[in-house]
Amino acid sequence: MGHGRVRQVLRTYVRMQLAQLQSGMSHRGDFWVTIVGVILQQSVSLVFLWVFFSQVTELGGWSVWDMAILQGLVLLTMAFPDLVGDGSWQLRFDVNQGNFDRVLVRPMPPVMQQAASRTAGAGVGNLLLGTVALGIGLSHAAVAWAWWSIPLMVLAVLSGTVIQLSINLITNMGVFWDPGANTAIPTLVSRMREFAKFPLTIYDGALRIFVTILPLSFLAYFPSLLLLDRGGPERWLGLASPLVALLLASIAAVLWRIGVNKYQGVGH
Amino acid sequence: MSTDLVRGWVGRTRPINKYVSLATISFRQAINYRAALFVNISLTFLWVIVVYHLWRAAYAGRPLFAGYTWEDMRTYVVLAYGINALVGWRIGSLMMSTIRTGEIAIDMVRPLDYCGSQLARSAGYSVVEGMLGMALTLVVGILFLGIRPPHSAGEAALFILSLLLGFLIKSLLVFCISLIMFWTTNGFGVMLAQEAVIQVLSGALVPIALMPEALRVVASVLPMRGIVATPVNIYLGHSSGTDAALQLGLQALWVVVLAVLASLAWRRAFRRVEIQGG
Repeated sequence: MGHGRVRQVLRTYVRMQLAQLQSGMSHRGDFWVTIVGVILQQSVSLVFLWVFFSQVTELGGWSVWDMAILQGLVLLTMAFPDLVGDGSWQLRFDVNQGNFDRVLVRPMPPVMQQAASRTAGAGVGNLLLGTVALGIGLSHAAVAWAWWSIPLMVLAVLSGTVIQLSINLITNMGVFWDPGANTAIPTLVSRMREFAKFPLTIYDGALRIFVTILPLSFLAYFPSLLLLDRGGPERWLGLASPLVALLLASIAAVLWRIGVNKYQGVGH
Repeated sequence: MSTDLVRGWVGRTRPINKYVSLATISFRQAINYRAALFVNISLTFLWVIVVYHLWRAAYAGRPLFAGYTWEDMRTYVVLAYGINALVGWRIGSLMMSTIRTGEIAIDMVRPLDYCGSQLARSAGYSVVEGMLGMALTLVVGILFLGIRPPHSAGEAALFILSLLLGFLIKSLLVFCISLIMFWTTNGFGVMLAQEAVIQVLSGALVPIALMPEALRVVASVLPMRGIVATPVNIYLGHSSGTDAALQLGLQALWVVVLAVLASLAWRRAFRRVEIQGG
């Protein structure tokens, strides 16, 4: 792909997403009901923190503000996948309905079309709540500010977004192999990010290894260790987040290629 | 017709209570959705695991929080999530979709009370999704998380009574909320909001005694506490004797109040019905 082509694809992609968002917003009342619902849903773990830290002052060295930073970052890595690539969740439906044929014949990479085929208003809710949580956390916590603090956070959110997008795509691709696949497993895997909202050190043994390799700790935990200048040498794993993201994205790409070749259509 | 065939007839010979047959039908439907059941249980466990670990870390530094020992607390966490899942996501979304899809038209021409039939359906689903989920939660809880059994048979009996009242409270609340679908078509957002509010105010997330003043006052006066906090505290023996009787009475009172509210709300919503298409 030449430079011009990349630009054209990206522009089309952004336009498709905006169109989706616009169609969602045309039912204004419904749109806001979703956003309020999502904000309340994600506030539950913040309420837990509030109650929990009214009883204790710190948890394994983490103050309530440190935790707000952690949760804010996780919420942001949830927001962007909803906004820019929620179409993975539509894949099962599209493949079974035969809509996927259309994706294959249009002059744009199929994976991008699929990702852009849906936008979840939920993303707006998570974006708002995540920004607020992160802002409150940063203004109260003892952050070891340095020139690289902000770039680090941006990098963490970007990598986290790619990690979540890849996980959603990989788990939803099951439909290429088994048309009867339901959303049970993808939903379950994606909800495991709840683990990422708390310091890895509270988990032990098998669970800790599981959370690390899933790789939920790379979403926000390791980067926040660097940000807060805390933890042992494992904090440097915070810099590995982009590599993990790249690895997962490559796996998703390879599986996608195999999956699409496997796709037979529904017989029109 | 031969007598053999007559003798082989196993269908019903007497009319069964209408609501019982509705519950039986939804019970059978629920059995068909094993994947939903699996997800329901797993998602419940996910939070149990997270919250369990957080409290374990907190108890490492202190033996008691608002009168709860570590054994009390881990029992609370496991039970609370199991109980809250008794009336799960699907019951609410089914009540809502009845209104959204216009299926309600059929319900309205039936010679049945609408609220009563929704509660009967909810009971059918609860038996499969909720009870099975709760049984599993208890087994895993007792085997791996060290939760404790109730103190006595009497306490266990009161716990079950309280659980049933809690089931009615949550079903009635969810029913009232489902009527919002007459005004918006977005069930998903409403479901998310409802789940979140009930999770906090029922005491499923944290015991009410631990909440900061402002939240504690709100949670104490609202009916949601009857869904989770009351039964669990009876189970733990934190509420016994006169107090337990008082709490059960309060639950029963809320059931009556909510039932009246539900029928009033339904009457109001009834006038709004507009069925799309036909």
